[in-house]
Amino acid sequence: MFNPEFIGYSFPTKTVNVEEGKLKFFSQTIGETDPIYLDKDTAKDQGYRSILAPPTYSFSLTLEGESLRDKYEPIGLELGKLLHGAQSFEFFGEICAGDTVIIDSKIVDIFQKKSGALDFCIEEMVVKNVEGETLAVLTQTFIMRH
Amino acid sequence: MSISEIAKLRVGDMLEPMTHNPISRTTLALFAGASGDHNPIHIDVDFAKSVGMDDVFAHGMLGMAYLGRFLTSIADQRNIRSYSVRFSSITQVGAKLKCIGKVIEITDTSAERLMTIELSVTDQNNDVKLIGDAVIAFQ
Repeated sequence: MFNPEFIGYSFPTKTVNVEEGKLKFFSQTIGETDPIYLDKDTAKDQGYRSILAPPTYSFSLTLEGESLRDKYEPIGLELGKLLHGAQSFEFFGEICAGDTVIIDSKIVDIFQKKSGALDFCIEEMVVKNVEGETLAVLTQTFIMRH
Repeated sequence: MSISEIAKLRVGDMLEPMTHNPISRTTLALFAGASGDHNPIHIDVDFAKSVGMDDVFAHGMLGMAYLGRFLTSIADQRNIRSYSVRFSSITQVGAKLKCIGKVIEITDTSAERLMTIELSVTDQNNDVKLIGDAVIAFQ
């Protein structure tokens, strides 16, 4: 079960470098063909600092450097029971290869439904640039099936 | 689509769907590495069986990334204000996903004109895998 004592818990702040090779690999894997996601020169010609990160890439940045087990087992995650229930993004600025981003994550709610058969954990993650401007706010809902 | 093409859309209009190649085990392995989600439930059939599943299944975020491609084929990414989904059922290996969008609202704020697009992803059996919405600015 997710431990409700973690409601309000903030994970340590993470600093992540947006690496060009990894970003391009992500775009290739999802079948992206638009060159602003693959080619630095095209991206620059279109006004981006470098290759643009697709809309959901910030989610991957939040996973960088730690496994789901490392991050969530302390709050009660059992990996084999995990389902991603919902995911939302609000966008305030783009993320490009070569950027450095600062990520703050916080557990905002833990609750149960169906007499404990479904166990929910809601986490909010804020991605900022090094100037402190917010680029994206992510809200993820994890569900464990018991 | 260009801004002027988007501006011609009306509430109730359906967007041209986008269909993706069937999801292979290779895609799941590559997406695990590329996305940083290494949960073995998506790549290791032995692990999947040990927790009562018949097989591995796709990352929800793979479907959301495909739907994101659909969205950025419609609008310049800089104009996407929000994008949300609920993962309504598990996506199996071999699923041929189709991204569907419908304009459901157009509103004006003091700063910009916003269009809400209702989104869904279905497989080849028309089972709904993801449902959600996105808000794009177009004026």
